[in-house]
Formats: sequence, structure tokens, C-alpha cells
Amino acid sequence: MITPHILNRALMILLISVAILWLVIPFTMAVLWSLVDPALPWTPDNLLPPVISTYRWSYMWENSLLKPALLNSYTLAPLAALLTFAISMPTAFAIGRYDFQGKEAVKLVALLPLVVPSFVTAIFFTSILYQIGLAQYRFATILFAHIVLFLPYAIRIMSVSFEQVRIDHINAARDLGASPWAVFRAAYWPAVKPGVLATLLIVFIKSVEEFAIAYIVGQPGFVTIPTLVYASLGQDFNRPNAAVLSLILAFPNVILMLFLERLLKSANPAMASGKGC
Amino acid sequence: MSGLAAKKIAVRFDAVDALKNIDLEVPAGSFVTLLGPSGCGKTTLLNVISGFLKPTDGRVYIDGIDVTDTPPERRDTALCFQSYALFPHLSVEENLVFGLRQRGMSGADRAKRLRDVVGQLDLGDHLSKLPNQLSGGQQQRVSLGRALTVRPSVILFDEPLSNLDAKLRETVRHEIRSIQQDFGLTAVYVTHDQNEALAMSDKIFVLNKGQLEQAGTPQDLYHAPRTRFVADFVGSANVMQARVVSRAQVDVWQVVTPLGPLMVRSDTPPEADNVLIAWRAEAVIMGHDPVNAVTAKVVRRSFEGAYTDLFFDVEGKTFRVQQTETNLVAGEDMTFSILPDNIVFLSDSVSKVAS
Repeated sequence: MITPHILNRALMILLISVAILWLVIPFTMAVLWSLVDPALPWTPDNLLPPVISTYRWSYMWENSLLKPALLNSYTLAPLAALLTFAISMPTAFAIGRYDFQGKEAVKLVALLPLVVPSFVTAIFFTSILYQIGLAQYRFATILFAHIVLFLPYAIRIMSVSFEQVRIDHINAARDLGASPWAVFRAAYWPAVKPGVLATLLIVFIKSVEEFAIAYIVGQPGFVTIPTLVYASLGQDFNRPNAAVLSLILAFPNVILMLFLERLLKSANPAMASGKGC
Repeated sequence: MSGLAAKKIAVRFDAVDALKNIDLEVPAGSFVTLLGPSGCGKTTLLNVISGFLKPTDGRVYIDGIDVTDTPPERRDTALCFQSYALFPHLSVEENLVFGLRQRGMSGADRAKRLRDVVGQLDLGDHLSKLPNQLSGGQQQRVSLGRALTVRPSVILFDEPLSNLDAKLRETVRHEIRSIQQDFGLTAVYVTHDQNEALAMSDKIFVLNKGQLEQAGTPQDLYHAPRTRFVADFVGSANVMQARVVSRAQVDVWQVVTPLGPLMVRSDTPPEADNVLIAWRAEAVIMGHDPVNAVTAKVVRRSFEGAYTDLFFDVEGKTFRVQQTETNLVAGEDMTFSILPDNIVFLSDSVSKVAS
């Protein structure tokens, strides 16, 4: 006899095991590997590294391309997020707020880039960028490419957000004498706010972890965090160094995610109280 | 003229006439209802009045001023939405003063207006709550309050009670009517519910297929419907074919109907020899009266509480008689008479043009 209580427990155990498999083990391993002392290798006969040392961290910080990579990635990502968001706006607004012929086709075309493997897109896309002579401005080119690649996400999320805006809220605000700005604040903003934050977050993360284009356009010389990580996985594979890099790559994203989660919760009181309106 | 007037309003969507040549007058302080089935154009007319829809033809006047080209933001109307349309992220208080903020009213004046409305609508305990923490009836009151705080020249209601349960609907109906009278509001109320329309209105405009079928007081519409549509839609009268045989007196005609020969007393003569006539289910006298006696077999009986419906069939059509107290059951014969005063001639020209 399966009671809800047992089912609950089973699901809880499942959730915890999944979380351990997916998160706790990889992260623990990464942390442990990043703390291995170069003089005393972590051999399979030891459960833990024999000596804990922060040497790798300071070494990677001083003697790798980590600093320019961080600078590049964290300048690219917010710019890509903001610009993608801005550029997606007219299409998303049109899809979300207007009925027109061929709307479904437009939606499909806007999403199409998502189904092609990113490396395939990257190769063809960069060849176009070379042809139009953009590729010499590496930062701008990668930024441009990221905007183009991540537009589908932004359009998708924002068009759904605009669909959520209720016409009766718009009309109620107008009926009570609201200016266009006041209509936006009263009727549009509360409905689209979660979507705006989600779009910025997703494009930011997508851009930070994007490898293919950053690699093809950027090599050699222009590094981002993913190209640096892949480089240290490839030519001179060094697990402790890669561990340091991947932790550094993951850290800001986790912080950002928690921050936005908090923001989203406070943004929607209807959701927080668990009652729809 | 103070109040609201709409003259010769026409609205066309592509090739479809949503409204045809509607004239509407709402004197200041009166409560006017637009009544009709869904798709009759009543909400379209309300949108024309509130400014959300520009009529293809015709003008709208508020207090004598032509406002046809005034957008809803600057039109002195306030609309109570069917969905309430409360801003879910704003507290009840912020919802109530929303319109006043848009007008740039000072804090002290806002507070005074708020106090007045909150007192009237008994919302004092809920000011800091969010709309989704309120019941449907309370949300409805906030929606009404939000429209009241701006003290509009004309207040508009778009089926405001349709999301409430039956019992609450009746309470709120009286509440809206008494607030309208207390504040002396000029109100236009849209509904498909004839009971609501009859109970609340000073005057009812019955719309059908974009056209005005009949306008009049609730009593006029109920007792003297002019068209088959009005007779049927307001209080579902019995409607039947009649052939005019002779004019018995100056205001009495003899007609032949499926129920037999009947006398009809009417101030207006029938429009043709073959006309439709209507009589109310409750406007009959049981027993054998020398005038207009009808005998029929009850085929179905339906107890409705305050009254009982008795149905009978003649020539494939079902008719209904309503009695407050009756022992008749299905299968029995009943004899009743329809007084000549209680039968009206219908003119079906309006319905014919519309269909």
C-alpha cells in the first residue's frame, strides 16, 4: 500500500539523490581537484588530496589568461543581454500584442535557430562575418554573433510576457486617465517584469558559456572563460587547473541566479501568495 | 443637455454592421440599461461611449459637449469592468486612488475622496490588502469604488455582476442602484440579464443584431413589447400568429389564433391583417370567463417556488401559463382567459430588417 506519506518520502529521496549526482558530487570533485598541491599529486589510493593547497588558485590567477578572459566574458555577457533584449522588443511586442497573418510562421522562423546545433551555426555564421569584413573587430563580432544567436530566446520569452498583459488592465488604466507611461507602469510592467529578468538572465548565462563562436572568431589571442576552459582541457590538460577555471566560471552565475530568483519572487505578489487573480 | 447622448451611432467592422443608427439619451442622474443577447452590440456601444472605439458614424455628447474625438484618457467616464480589471500588484487603496493620482490630485484631497468611497462601500478593513486576497464580491466593490473616486460625469458598467454567484448578484444589484441614486450618478449599464435590467433601470434600451429594438421603462417593455424579440427576450412572453377579422370597437379587434378567436384591446392598430400577438404567461385568469376563454390540456408542470409554470401544446407550439397557486397536474384540462387588455400587437418590422 503506497500512502501519500511514503510517496512523498520516496520523491524526496529521489530528488536528493539527483541533486547529489548532478550538483554535489561534481562540485565537490571540482573543489577538491582545485586544491591539489602540485608537488604531491592526488593518486587513486587516496580518498582526499594528501595536501590541501591554494597554489593552483594563485597560480591560475597570476599565470594564465584568466584575467582577460574574465574581463572579456563579463563585459560581453551584460552587453549581449541588454542589446539582445532591446533588439527582441519590437518582434516580441508584435507577436505578443497583435494578431496578423502569418503570425505562427513568424513565431516558428524566430525559433528556428534553436534547433540547429550551435557549432554548425557558428561555423557558417563566422564565415559570413569574415566575408562582410566584421571579424577583425573581435569583441564587436562576438557580441554581434551572440545577439543574433540568442535573439530566439529573448523573442520567445518576451512575446509570451507581452501576451500576459491583460487588455482590461490597459483599458482600465486609460479609462482612469493614465498617461502612456502610467499605463506602462500599471498594466505592462507588472506582467512583463519576470520575463524581462528571465531574458536578461538567460542571455547573460548563454553568452558567458558560449564557446563555438568565441573560439572560432577569437582564436588566437581573444579569450573568454569557455575558450580558456576548453583550452586547458585540450592542449595542456591539467585537471586541477581546469577545476579552478570551471569553479570561477560557475560562481558568478550561481550568485546571479540566486539574486534574480529573489528579485522575481518579490516582483510578483500574486505568485508569492499562491493565488491567481 | 446634461447627461449623455449618442446620436446616430454606427459601427462597421470590415463588412459587418456591429451597430446601426443607434440613438441613445441618458438624462443626468438616470440609470439606463443596454439589454440584449451576446453579440447584439451592447458592449460595442459601451466602448463607443467610453472612447475605446471610434464609431464609423455618429457623435457622442457628454453634458452637451461633443466628445466623439476625445480619447478615453480624457473622457469624463469611468468604466466598471466585467473582469473588475483591478491592478493585481497594487493594494486596494492604491487601486481606489489610481484615477486621482493620474489627475495629479493632492494627497489631502485624495485622502478625502478615498474616505468617502471607503465609507460608502464598506472597504475600510481591506485597504492594505491586494486584490487577490479579496472575495469576488469585495473585488467587485473595489472596482466600483475605483470608478466612483474620480466622480465621473457618466459611470459605465460592463456586465459587472456576471462573475458573482446568484445570491450575491442580487445583493450587489441593489447596492449599485442605491449608490447610483445616492450620488446622483448618470449610469449606463450593460447586461444580458433581463431580471437585472428590469430591477435596476430607469430606462432600458433593448438591442438586437446591432439595432435598437425598443426603448422604454421596464414596465413599458414588459407590458407593451413592440417586437417579437422584445416580447420573447424580456420575460419570455407567449407569442403567436393572429389573423385580424374585424374591428369590434374603436380600440378592440377580433382576431383568430391557434388558441381560437380572441379579442384584443390595443391603443395602436395592428400593422397588417396577419400579425404576431403576445401575452404574458402570468396575465391570465383561471376559470371560465365569457371573454377570451381558452381550454387546453396541461402537458407539463414546473414548480418554481413563488409560482408554477403550466405548459400546453397547440399546433406543435408550446405555450406557458403561470400561476401562484394551482393544483393542476399534467394530463388535466385547464380553462383560463386572457383579458383583451393583456394582449399586445407586435410589429416585426424591426426584426425583419435586422435579419
